[in-house]
Amino acid sequence: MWRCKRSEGDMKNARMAIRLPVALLACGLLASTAVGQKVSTEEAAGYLVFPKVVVDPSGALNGVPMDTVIRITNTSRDATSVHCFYVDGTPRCTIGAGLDGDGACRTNDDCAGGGICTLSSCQAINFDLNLTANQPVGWRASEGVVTTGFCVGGTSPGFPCSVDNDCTGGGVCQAQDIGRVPPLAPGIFQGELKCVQVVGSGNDPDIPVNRNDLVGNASIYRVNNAIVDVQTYNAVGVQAVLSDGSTQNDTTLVLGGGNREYAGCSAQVIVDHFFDNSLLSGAREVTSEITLVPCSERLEVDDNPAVHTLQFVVFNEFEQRMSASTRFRCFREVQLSQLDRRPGQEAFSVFNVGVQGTLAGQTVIRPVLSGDGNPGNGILAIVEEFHRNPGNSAVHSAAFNIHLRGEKSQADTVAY
Amino acid sequence: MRALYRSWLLGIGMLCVFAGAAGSQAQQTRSGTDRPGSILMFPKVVRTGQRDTIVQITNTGNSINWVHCFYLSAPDGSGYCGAVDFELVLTRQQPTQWRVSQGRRVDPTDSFGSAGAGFDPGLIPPVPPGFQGALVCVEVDANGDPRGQNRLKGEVTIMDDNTGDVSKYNAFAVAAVSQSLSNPLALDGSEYETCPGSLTLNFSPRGSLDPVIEDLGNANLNSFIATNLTLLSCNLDLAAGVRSNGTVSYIVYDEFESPFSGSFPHQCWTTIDLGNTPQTTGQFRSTLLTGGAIATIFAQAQLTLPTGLVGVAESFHIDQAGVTGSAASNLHTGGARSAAIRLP
Repeated sequence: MWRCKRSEGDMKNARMAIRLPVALLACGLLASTAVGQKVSTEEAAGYLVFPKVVVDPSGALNGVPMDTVIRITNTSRDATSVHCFYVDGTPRCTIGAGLDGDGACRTNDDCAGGGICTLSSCQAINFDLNLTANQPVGWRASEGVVTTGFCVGGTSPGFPCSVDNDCTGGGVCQAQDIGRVPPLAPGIFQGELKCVQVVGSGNDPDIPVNRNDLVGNASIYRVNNAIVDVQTYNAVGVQAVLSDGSTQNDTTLVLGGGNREYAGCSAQVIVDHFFDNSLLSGAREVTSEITLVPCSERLEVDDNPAVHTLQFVVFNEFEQRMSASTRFRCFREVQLSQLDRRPGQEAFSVFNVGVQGTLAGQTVIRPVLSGDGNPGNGILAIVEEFHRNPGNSAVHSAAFNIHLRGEKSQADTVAY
Repeated sequence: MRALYRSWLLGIGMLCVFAGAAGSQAQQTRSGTDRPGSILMFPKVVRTGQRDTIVQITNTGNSINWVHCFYLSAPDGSGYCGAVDFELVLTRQQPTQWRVSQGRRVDPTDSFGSAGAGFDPGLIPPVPPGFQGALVCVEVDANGDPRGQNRLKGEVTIMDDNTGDVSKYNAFAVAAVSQSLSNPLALDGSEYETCPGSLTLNFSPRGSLDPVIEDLGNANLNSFIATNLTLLSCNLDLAAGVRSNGTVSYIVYDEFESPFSGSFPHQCWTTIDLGNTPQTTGQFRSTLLTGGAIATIFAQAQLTLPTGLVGVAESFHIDQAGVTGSAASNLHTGGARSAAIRLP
């Protein structure tokens, strides 16, 4: 009996000896997952989002040809594979050839035959990259990567090539195959780029891997024979919770929430901006455009993207507060003062200097949580500032990353 | 025994809750260029030739915020950073802005929609012609003692008033992690967050042809890319000036994964045209130029810092007629370095 009781006590002690470390381990894991990983525009991450990529080689959108140079760098000493998606957010005509023969349009006026200019769904195009240790790569979105090397020497070093004859001035083509990236020209493309660090080999090479090694940025060009206008922003990096190199279970990325695989999107987005039509000097009138993309997305399989509702709270330099709201599906690029007013009515917008009376403003953007069981409502964004000389209509621009605050309680998911 | 066991579990549970809460707090207050903080660092502010700068600072909180700001410059290149200070008072959620060549006056009669319209945050002095330096702003209380509300954010717009060119970057915001703050400000992870220990720069080597300008613009193999890097030390003695020296080590990788390493000196504030100084000639310069070593258009530089530094890069894209477009970008960061800022 004594032995039996003693044995029972030993068993309790043994159970406690097991449970205590397990509890401590679980606690440690909770703390380690709560700290550190974040959505950031400056730290290396396992999932990159470039909210805006634009290609317009003919200049049909605003009169000046546009292209985007994308840079992605592997900051690790180990090679890595990357699975990427261009998400096409170009509005297209329901009827008519549009601006590029493929239906791209800005307004209904660009659509012949009574067509309507609309963005009904965002089609995704995927491709793969293989990056060696510490390798930086870059490409023009219009051209993609369709060659297998770079020119060395000659008069065009660094230009893409497949054979020596592709290089000018006696340069030779040195092999460096990073993969194939589809060219987005000759038509018009507006949309985003999303890239995930993946396994890269085996039966399912596109399974995400728990690493945080990628940084990226994009430069949007407006160039012709008389204009050189360049703006650069950093890609938004979403860090994987674990960075041990382990493989995830499926091709659905869970951002935030209780079962997070990646850091969660922010609860609020803060944008400092000049109110539209502010005069910074006699030769400099400013307008701003914001590009919004969702944190949640079903890439390749989504014919009916979810509608996201956003609330805007706007403060001017008098501490006065005004508000607005808008909705979008999978991609939206819009001038601030057209968020709450139709084109032509910008002077009546809460984002216009004529309404606010001061040059500087602060706008807090909050995605409205959906109550329909679809939790994905986080957003990412960049802002572009356009400085126009009223005297000669010359335009120069700059892009910048927005600020993030807090983290949404609900998870976002990216599935492919 | 069972009660003792349950109390252990309860204790562990409470620890988990506190750890999670602290972690959540830490997660929301880490330093960087995309979150509000208590110390704002604008590494590059210029009023040179035809270039001028507009500074934007915003109080993202719902209570009044006192801010103590310092313009830093090192005009003689000796490593001594002189500071000119001024104070701001921002009401709840108030954004403010000023052009550094003009400063900002306290004038309640500013007309609707003019540069001075809005609640004047305080008298802001103009910087003199030729100014190149930085701006540092610290959240303080009404007595001028440091206060950590983590509610400041900021941006800088650099403009060329002759050509209309413009570039823009976000201020680096250092978050306070303690309510018990003292002077000097300890950026050590216990009072304030630390500064970055390494910086990553995606760039094109000096003299590279710009592939977009070559295709769409006026080039004929005569386009040109240059990059300017500006670094600001996180170790700042704003009371007596700063005389800090150090060495930034770097490794540059091109698209062939070839590494090129080197170093260059830095002081409290350093601005450098990459590939155009003796310390960076080969490693940041295209093979198109004499002495250049980088054979590809896209490259990355990993900068390792002896002390905490923040920085900003500005690239210049030039066609054969000299028409130039510039773009500023924040650097990518990693690691951690402790630093201290001494207020007057």
